[in-house]
Amino acid sequence: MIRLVFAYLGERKLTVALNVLLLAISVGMLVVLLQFSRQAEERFLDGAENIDLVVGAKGSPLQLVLSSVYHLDQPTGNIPLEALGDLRANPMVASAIPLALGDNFRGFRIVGTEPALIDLYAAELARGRSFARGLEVVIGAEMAAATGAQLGQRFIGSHGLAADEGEQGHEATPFVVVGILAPTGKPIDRLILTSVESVWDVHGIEHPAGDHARGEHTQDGHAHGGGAGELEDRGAAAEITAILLGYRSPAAAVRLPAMIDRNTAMQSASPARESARLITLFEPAIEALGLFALLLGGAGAFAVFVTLWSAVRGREGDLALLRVMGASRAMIFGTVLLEGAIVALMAALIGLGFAHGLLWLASRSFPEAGIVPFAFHPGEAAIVAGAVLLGMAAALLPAWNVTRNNLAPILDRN
Amino acid sequence: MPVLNDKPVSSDAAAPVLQLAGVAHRYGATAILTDFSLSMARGEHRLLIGPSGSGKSTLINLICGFLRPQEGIIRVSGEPISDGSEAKRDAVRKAHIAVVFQALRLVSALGVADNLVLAARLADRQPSRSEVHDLLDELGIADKAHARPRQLSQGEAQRAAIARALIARPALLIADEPTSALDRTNAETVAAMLLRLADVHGTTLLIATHDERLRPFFPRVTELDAPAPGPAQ
Repeated sequence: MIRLVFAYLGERKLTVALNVLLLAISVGMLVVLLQFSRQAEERFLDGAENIDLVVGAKGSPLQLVLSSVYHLDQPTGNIPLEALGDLRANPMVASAIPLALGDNFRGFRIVGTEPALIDLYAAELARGRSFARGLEVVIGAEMAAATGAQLGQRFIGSHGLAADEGEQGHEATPFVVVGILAPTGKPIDRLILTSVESVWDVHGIEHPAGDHARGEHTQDGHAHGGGAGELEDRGAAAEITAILLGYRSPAAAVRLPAMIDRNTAMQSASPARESARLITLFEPAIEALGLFALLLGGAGAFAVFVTLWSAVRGREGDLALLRVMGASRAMIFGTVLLEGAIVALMAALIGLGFAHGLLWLASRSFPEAGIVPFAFHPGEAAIVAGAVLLGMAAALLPAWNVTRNNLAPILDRN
Repeated sequence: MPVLNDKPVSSDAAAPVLQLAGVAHRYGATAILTDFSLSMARGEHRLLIGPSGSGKSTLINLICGFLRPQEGIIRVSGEPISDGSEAKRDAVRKAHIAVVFQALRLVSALGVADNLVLAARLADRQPSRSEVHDLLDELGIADKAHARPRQLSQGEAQRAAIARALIARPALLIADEPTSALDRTNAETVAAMLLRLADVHGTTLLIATHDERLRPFFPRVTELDAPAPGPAQ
């Protein structure tokens, strides 16, 4: 009987294809939305797991969090290096890790920081060691995989934070890879970590620890455009981009942000709050798209219903013959139901493939978004099951109707 | 009334494969069958002949269990098919009866060979490929094994329908107007085939038709008259 069901489906390929397409688009949309919302949520939660507060130049707190924790946006500006010392001296602060941004290598951000950042993201070295001397770098797993960089390899950073942002490179001050991190699924996978001093040295900026490796650098004196996040030109006071803070006690969560916002020229931003706000911003759009996908699914199910309704009427004689040959009413009912289920299953599988293909394309087009294209979520099984049930529900009425057929008049007509 | 020339089977015949006793059926005021009785032994061939509206199709529907007679009893291979639940009647039909119709010959979506396999499986049989091929060969349509029903001529389709019915190894093969749409040559070929194959397979054969061309092929004939309208109700 299964062969018969496939034969019936094969007899009306175009209509079946249309039904499958409608349902597949719906399933695909739902899977993409599910993956998008889950991955975004996981990425935001994981990325900010051990960071209580970010301190940076005044501007949008969301932008500050996105640029300093997730490395997705442009920084809000720079802050004086002294702020780092002040915060470290504050009894409410357990840890303070500086970030100095400004350059990239093929779109991967070069981050001047301290080795403690590796621990902050719970990352581990897969090979090599941490950076210690000037111009030494540790690279994230994704950056290593994408560029094929190996230990001991040298590369020249470019100005700006994106691959296409700057054209000039720091040819005289190449970085050398001394460590490669194991994959974490966090923003650090895409970073190139070095010391803050190295970033300053590359840009010819005077700084308190500026005696190391000084003689090796050519001071190019380029301008960083004065835009957000760019380090100042040579001679300017040493600055950093942001500071990632860890509280010593929960009470600090109340007092420290208020203190920073009120008493300094800087702003503080809570990654947890900003992430939640960002997700909330997306929620209405996700819900609207989800509703649209469900409507499409409903239209697909209705198309399956209409198609099956007319199809079973057209094969009234066939079904009567099957009954004469020994098929029970339940068997006839089952074949029509199976037809709906198979159409829906095909649609669900194509929709799944379509969704993950789309995610793969997105991951290739926007690598900085950190999309994992082939991470299957249990919710997808529920979407597939839901689609199959919808297909069966659409077939229910035609199936029930055909089993009510009185055979005698049909046979009399034939 | 409708029964004119019911020739009973000889007393030495085996236990009847088909037995109708005192069967009556009417549609509204019109009595289609009244006190109709018929008995067919294993391997017997019989022609049920009558004009349109004489009750041939009704009789087939009754024998197959699609209709329940208002009076009388019908047994196939000793099992009643005129009463009991639909599932029970389905089971009797599935176990003992195959039908060849005038137009409703094959499942349209499947090829000829697949139709045979499906019919056999519905009768709880698992035919081998060679069995399917041999049967089609016997009917002269082995080269049409993979053809779709719409690709067959009228004669080929009717022969395929006979193969589809016989593969189920029924005790009783009923053919409803099997030759009406065929020209004389094809009609005679189909009739001869039905008789020969029923003989070979030991199948009881009942052909319901208005086609007088078939009369010479059958020693036993039951004639049905057009029903007389009954009193208005």
